Amino acid sequence: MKHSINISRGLIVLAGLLMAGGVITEASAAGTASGTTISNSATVGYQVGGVSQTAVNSNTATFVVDTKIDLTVATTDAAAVIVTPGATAQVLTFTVTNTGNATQDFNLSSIAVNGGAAAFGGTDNFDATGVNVYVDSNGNGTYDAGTDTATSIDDLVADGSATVFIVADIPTVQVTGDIASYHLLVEARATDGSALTETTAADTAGSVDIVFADGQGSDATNDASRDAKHSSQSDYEVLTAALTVTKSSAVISDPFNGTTNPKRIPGAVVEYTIQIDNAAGGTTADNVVVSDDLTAEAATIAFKTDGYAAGQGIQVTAPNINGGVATNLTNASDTDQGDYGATAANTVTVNGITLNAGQSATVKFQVTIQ
Amino acid sequence: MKISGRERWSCSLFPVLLVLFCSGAQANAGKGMTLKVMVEQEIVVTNKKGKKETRRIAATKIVPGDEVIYTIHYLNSSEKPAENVFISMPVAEHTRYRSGSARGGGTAISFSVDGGKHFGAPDELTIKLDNGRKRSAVAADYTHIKWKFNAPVPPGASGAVSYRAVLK
Repeated sequence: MKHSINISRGLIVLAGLLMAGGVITEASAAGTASGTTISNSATVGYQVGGVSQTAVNSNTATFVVDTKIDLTVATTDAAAVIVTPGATAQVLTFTVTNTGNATQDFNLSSIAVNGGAAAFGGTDNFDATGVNVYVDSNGNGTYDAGTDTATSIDDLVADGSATVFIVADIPTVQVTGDIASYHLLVEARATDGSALTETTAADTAGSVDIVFADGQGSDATNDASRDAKHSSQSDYEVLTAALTVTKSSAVISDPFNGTTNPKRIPGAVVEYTIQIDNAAGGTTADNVVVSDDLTAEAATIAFKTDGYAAGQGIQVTAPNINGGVATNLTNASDTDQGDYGATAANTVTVNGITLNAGQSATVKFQVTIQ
Repeated sequence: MKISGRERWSCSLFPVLLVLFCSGAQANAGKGMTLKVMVEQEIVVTNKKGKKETRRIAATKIVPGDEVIYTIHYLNSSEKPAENVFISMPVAEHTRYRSGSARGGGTAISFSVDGGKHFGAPDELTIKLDNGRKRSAVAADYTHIKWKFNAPVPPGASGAVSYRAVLK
């Protein structure tokens, strides 16, 4: 009655089988899928009286992986989104990540901060209008009106993430420095959209329970830890260009003194300089239009049509025109940026000036005193 | 040597089996050394005095990141000492070994990173990298745990070894 059993080899075969299973199913970052059965057993090898005995396996201990509800909401805005008064469809951007271990739906809502601290410094002091929350349905990371229309996330897989936008309009009355701050509040829901309930009672191995594992986000009023909700905050900050205009004049010549100490007498040539400054710290001012209507002064001064060259009575110096070099403009309405009397009667008009914050431009023209 | 639990276990064995053991015949499988594995989790409860205490319950509510405790109870239900005893257990699929968690009085604990082919102390284990080099193994690499008993397990003796794993 002698059995010869190679225990060590038996163990190797057993181990190999178990490991094969471990390699095939790789756990995801969000964790082992809900409903997975985790089984394990032990083996004992031994000898009696120097004789190796058949290796003995234990029972198999198992448990079932429960459903972990976890989500992370984070804004991808690195700073407050700069908006101008009256701007429409301005976008705050967020990422919602399903960090649980099962597919879930997610409800989305925007929560206006009411006078509290903004996300990127400062204090909320106004609410935007027409506030909506949309999912980036086409996944391009940019809000596309008419395309990104879904207002909740459907069936986001474990480890999956979606981009969500808060889209709103900025009232025209806002001024530089105004801040409208919003939370994106996201709630995990069952895949049929119904609310989830955490399993609080003790349960039995073999059933799949629901465990809320989320932390608390930015919205401490509506979002607690382990409530299947998470939130993140971002801001709109109003920044508008602050333009100032200064007009000055200088006598170029008079009929008697020429250009030496000229006086403002009839026949004298006077140069007007209109300076436009965009204050530092604001936004870029696009397509600034300078117009100076001389109608009221028509009896006393006459626009000098050849002030800078034949047919060129206007000179502009602007950072975006001709590399910032003083440029003569024709009086006619043509492809250049200026005209006299064409856009409006008796009026010097220069358009197409762009001024970044802190930049200046000048428009010059000359008149003859009557 | 009086070991508690011996009567409880050995008296329930069939007399026939005892005879076989005494005659020096080889033990029948399952009637020499036996193992029973439990998987549990720790929960923190507040007791009647209002103090928090940790209790172990059967692993039922486990989600990724949670820790479970595997306890392997052994019993020598034969009439002869079991010699050169070792218990081997894989690290279950979807779990990783919690570093430093293996326990086993009177045993030398070693680990395998190659599916149980070779076992060694943690500082002896290496992982082959794709570029042909090697790196030191870490707890997450362990595939099996082995408890090698320093001394024979006397007849009727029982005990337990354990380790903790984290659900991935």
